Order: sequence, then C-alpha cells, then structure tokens
Amino acid sequence: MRKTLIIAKREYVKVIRKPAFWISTLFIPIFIIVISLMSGFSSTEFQQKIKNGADNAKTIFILDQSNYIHFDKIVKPFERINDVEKAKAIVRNNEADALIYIASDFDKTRNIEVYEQDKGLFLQSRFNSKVSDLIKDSILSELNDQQKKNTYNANYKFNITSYKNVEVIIKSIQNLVIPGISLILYFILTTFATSYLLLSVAEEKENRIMEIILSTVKPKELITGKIIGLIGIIITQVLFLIIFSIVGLVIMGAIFSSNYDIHQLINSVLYTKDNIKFININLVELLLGLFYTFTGFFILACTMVGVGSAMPTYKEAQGLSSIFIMISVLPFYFITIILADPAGSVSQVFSYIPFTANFVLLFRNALGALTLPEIIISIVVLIVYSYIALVLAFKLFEVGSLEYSKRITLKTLFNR
Amino acid sequence: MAKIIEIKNVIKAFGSKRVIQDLSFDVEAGEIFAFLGPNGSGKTTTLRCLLNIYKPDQGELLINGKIFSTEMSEFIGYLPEERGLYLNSKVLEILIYFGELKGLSKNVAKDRAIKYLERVELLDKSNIDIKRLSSGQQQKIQLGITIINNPKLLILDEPTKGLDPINRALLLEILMELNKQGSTIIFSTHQMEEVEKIANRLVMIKDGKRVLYGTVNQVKKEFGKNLIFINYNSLQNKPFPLNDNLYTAKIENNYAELTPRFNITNLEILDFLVDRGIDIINFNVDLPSLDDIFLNVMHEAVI
Repeated sequence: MRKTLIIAKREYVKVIRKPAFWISTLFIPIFIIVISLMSGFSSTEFQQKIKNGADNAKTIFILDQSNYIHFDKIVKPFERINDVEKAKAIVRNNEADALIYIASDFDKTRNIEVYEQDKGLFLQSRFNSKVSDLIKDSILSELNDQQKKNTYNANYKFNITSYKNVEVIIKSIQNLVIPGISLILYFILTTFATSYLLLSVAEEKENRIMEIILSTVKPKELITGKIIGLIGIIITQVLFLIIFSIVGLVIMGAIFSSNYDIHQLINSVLYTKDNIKFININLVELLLGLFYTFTGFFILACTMVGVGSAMPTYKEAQGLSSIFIMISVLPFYFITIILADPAGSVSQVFSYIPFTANFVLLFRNALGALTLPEIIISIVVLIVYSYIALVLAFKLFEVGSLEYSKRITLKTLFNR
Repeated sequence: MAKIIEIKNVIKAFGSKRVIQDLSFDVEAGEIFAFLGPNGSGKTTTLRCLLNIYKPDQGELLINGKIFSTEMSEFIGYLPEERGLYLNSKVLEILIYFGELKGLSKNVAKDRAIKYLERVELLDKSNIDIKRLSSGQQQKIQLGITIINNPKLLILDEPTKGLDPINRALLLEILMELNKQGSTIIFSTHQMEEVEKIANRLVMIKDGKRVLYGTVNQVKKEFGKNLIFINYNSLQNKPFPLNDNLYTAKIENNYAELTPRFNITNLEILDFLVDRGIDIINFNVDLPSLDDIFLNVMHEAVI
C-alpha cells in the first residue's frame, strides 16, 4: 500500500503541476458559459431579427377570401386588396413588402399563401406570427364573454400527479440536478481524466522506464497507484469547477444586480438543507447513478491502461483511445431519442453495449425509466464488463508494457 | 560461498520459439559475475525471468533461495538494457521517488541522492528536467536510481552500453566500489575487456543454452588455446622458420603469433627458434583473450 500511495502522490503532483491541467480545467466552464451565451444570444438575436422584419414592413397586402379576418383589425402595415395579380406585381416590383392570400377553402386546407420580398432564408417566415395573431384576434373578437376572453389569453398552470408502480411519485425538472451533475462528471471522466491515465502509461512505455518500475513494484500496485492519483486529480478538478462557479456567480451577481446581496447568494448556494429540498434526492437513484458513473470510469480507465500498454508510442495510443472515447460519448448524439423515449428500443440497445451502456443507463436512471429487472441486469452486466476490462488491461500490460517497439496484436496477446 | 542466485534448468518460450533451453548457473555472494552471449541469445529474457517480470515455463530462478518478489527490491538494484527516465521530471526528484519506492524514507533518499549526484558531478543539475541532460548524464541518473538503496545484489543488463570511455571507466569504478562494500554483481555485456577487468566468474550462452561457465581463468584454460607472441630482429633477412609439427604461425614483418600444436611445450618452440638462429627480442606467452574465446565459441559447436 505504501508503494501504491507513493505512486498515487507522484501521479497527482505530476499533473497538478502542469499549467496545461489548469488551463484545460478552466477551459471547461468557460467553454460551457461561452457556448451557452453564444447560443442564447444568437437565438435572441434571431427572434429579434424576425420580429423586426415584420415590424419594419410598410405595406402588407391582405386578400382574405375566407372572411376570417375582420375589417376593423386590418390596420397599418396591413392593407386590404382585391386583385391578387395586381398585388403580386406590386410586391414583385418592391413597392410593397408582402401579399398574404387566404383562400376561401382555408377552413379545410389551413393554407395561407405569402408573396414577399426576399430577405434571406431565415426571414421568409417573418410575417407568420403577425398573420396568425391577426386571424386569432379576429376569431376572438367574435366572443362576447370577457371572462372567456381572459381565460383564452391566460397562462395555464398544470399540477401533475404521476403514478409509478401503483404509487404516486414526485417528478420535476429539479430531479435532473444530481443526474445532470453525474453526466457532467461522467463527461469529465471519459474525455479528460482517462486521457491522463493513457498519457501516464504510454509515457512510461515510450520512455522505456517500465522495466525499472516493474522490478520495484507489482503491476497491480502501479496501476492502482495511477488510478488513485487520477481520482485525486478528478476531485481537484471538480472542486475547482465548484469554486469557480461560486466565484463566477458572486462576480456576475455583483456586476449585473444593483440590489445584490452577496450573503443571500452565498447562503442560497451553500445552505444545504434548502438545497436538498430543492434537489429532491432519491437515494436509490443517487447510488445507482454513482455506480454507473464509477463503472463507466473504471471500464474506460482499464481500456486506457490496455491501449497505453499495447501501442509503442503515446501518439499511436492516443489515436486508438479516441475510438473508445468517441463510442463512450456516442449516446450524446442520440440524446433526444433517449429523452423522448427512455424505455424505447434505441435506449435499451445502447444500455447493454460496452462503453455506451454507462452513459445511457445514467440518463435513463435520471429519468426514472429503469425497471427493477433492468437495474439488476445492468448491474450484473456492468460488473462483468468491468471484470473483463480489468483482466484484459492486466494481460495487455503484462504482454505489452515491455514490448517497446511493437504493437500488441490479439495473436500476440493470447500466445503469451 | 553462499549462492545468492540459483538458475536451475530454466526453459522459456514465446509462442513456438524457445528462447532459453535448460539453462543452469549460480552466482555466489560477493562476486562479480559476467553473463555473456551474443544479441538474441536469451540474456535479457533470463534476467527478466529472474526478476519475475516473465514467468519461466520450467525450472527455477531463485534469489537467496526464493522466487523474486518486489519486496526484495529493497536490497536489489536492477538496471535493464532498455532503460529510460521520466524526461519531464527533475533529476533530484526522480532519484528520491525511486529511493522511496525501494523502501527508503524521503530524507534518507534525498541524502543519498545528493551524495550520488556529487560523486558523479551532477549536483548542479539536480533541479533541472532530465530531458535537458546529455545521454551520458542520463545514464548516470539511471545508475543512481539502481544503486540508491545500496543494494546487496546488483543486476545489470549491459550497463556500459552507449557510454563513452570516461563514463564507462567511472561506472566500472563505482561497481568495484560497491563490490568492495559487499554487493554481489551480475552483469551482461559484449565488452570482454570489462569482463577480464572486473569479473570473477562468467557464464556464456548461445541460443538460450550454456556454452561456457566458470572462473575467467578456468574458461581461458579450458576453452582457449595458448598463444606465443614473438618480436624478432628481421635485419638478417632470414625467413621466420615454419614447423607444422610444432606450431602454426601468423607472421608480419618482425612479429609472429604462434599457436602450439597439441602437447608441444613453449620451451620446445623457444629451443627450436634459437637453434634456427632467430634473434628473438621478445617472447611472450599468453592465454587467449575472452574476445577470441567468445568468437570461437560462437562460431563453433555448442557444448
């Protein structure tokens, strides 16, 4: 154990001392914030552009043969017209912005024809909501009951009671807080943390120091030491992210809020009693989430040890490892399908494929979409996968760690 | 003397290729033992089996009567043939790290590391990255890692490979010092002059089989042929006399190298040459060099 801890300490200090570690750790939250801001900003900008496109119109001809639109609702920039061809010609000559033509069979077809001056693909729909509002307003104006009118315009509140296995369960978006954190943790583990392990093993092989080490420590002590060091690195990274987020919140709050109370904010973040109530922790789901996260990390960590041992250089090992990392994050691309139907066949298939299983199970667990038999099967399957990964990692390490200039093929692996 | 290493009838194969074939030899406590053989003869595999990095298919490899375990690393130093270092680590830091792995406390490891760096004149480099050292300096650090625990047994696989003559001499000097302090040393090499200089006994293998084994002098006597080196005055314009019954000769200007025939003594040859009126300046009898034996054995039949 003493040797394992010496190795763990070295692995930890080696990474923590690198400026690249802090840059990449800092890069994760900054990247997420920048992408979110950019995405939010571009979405708002887009909506605003569409709205401006409609608001800035000077003349929009309306020809309504369905008689849904009331005359008194047609005000500037709308203008009634009776001759379709004449209106089209005016729009074509850029003397009006658009012609809205609603045919007499609108009741059946719900079709509205729009002739407009081209402002680009994304602004083609700029008149849609304005015209929809015009039609709905006209229909609503026929309703005499003010209370019904208010009800029509109101935002409705939905109180939902969900049943699962005969019992009532409380579910809300807040339930996704812990699983959400698990998913972020899983992402950090798969993409960043395991790459440190790969670098560590491949570097020792490439630098030809492995044999000196193996004459001093057992492979088990070496690999365990590396993994403990790696867990230390992950904890540091996560703690840093949490501190960075709190500091970020405080600074952002101070900048953007004039009535900002720093103590209130810190209390709201740190006062655990309130937070636990807010998060709605389900202990079984939490433990399962931790199990799926840990086994996912373990399987990928073993894979990195195996890949690092099998390839002669770090560069080649990196190439091969990226395949496994890509498979691990593959379910991200199917997230909408999994979200829409967490118990569907796509979700179920991915739940049992090595490398994708942990992510999908983690997600389905968060959505409460796992049945008891599925939970039991998944635990057994992941333990088996972890065992196979461990055996293969040790075998590859035993065979490959001293083959400094050769790639280890399956034939070599099983001949030894 | 007590046996510190016992190699008994070891067989090791990789796939269908047998790399070590029924190999046996011992190393005695306190001696310097040379492990010889051409490239690919199985030396590194034997040493890896001895350190339990590879498992032998048959036979036993024992250190102090036991199969190697990493707990023994506290009194063993191993320098492999394929050796490297953590290039991005500091010199002193890496010596301390290996000292700790070999059971030393951090302070003791640091003291020994500093003393060693002083001894090999690298103390001023203690806080720089290893990648900034020359290859000779890196080899000194590798040796430092190997001996930081003052090992009772040193296992060195081609320790002087790649070293310049100055560093080679320094390394041999350090090994002799360690041996005087009680360390047993087994080393593999292709440099026969190193063996002649420091080794007490040797084993030579070919294709995983033992071909020579014993003290250096025993091997020379047993497997080599006597050679006579003669310098003579060639001003008399007399040809150097040949006698197939007494010897075979290689002659160059005023120098002759004679190999006596079986059962012919050196004195008989000297008498013969004096009788023929050869003005002999120098008459030297020597056992053959290990280099010659090595070459002969590798080209001749396996014993």
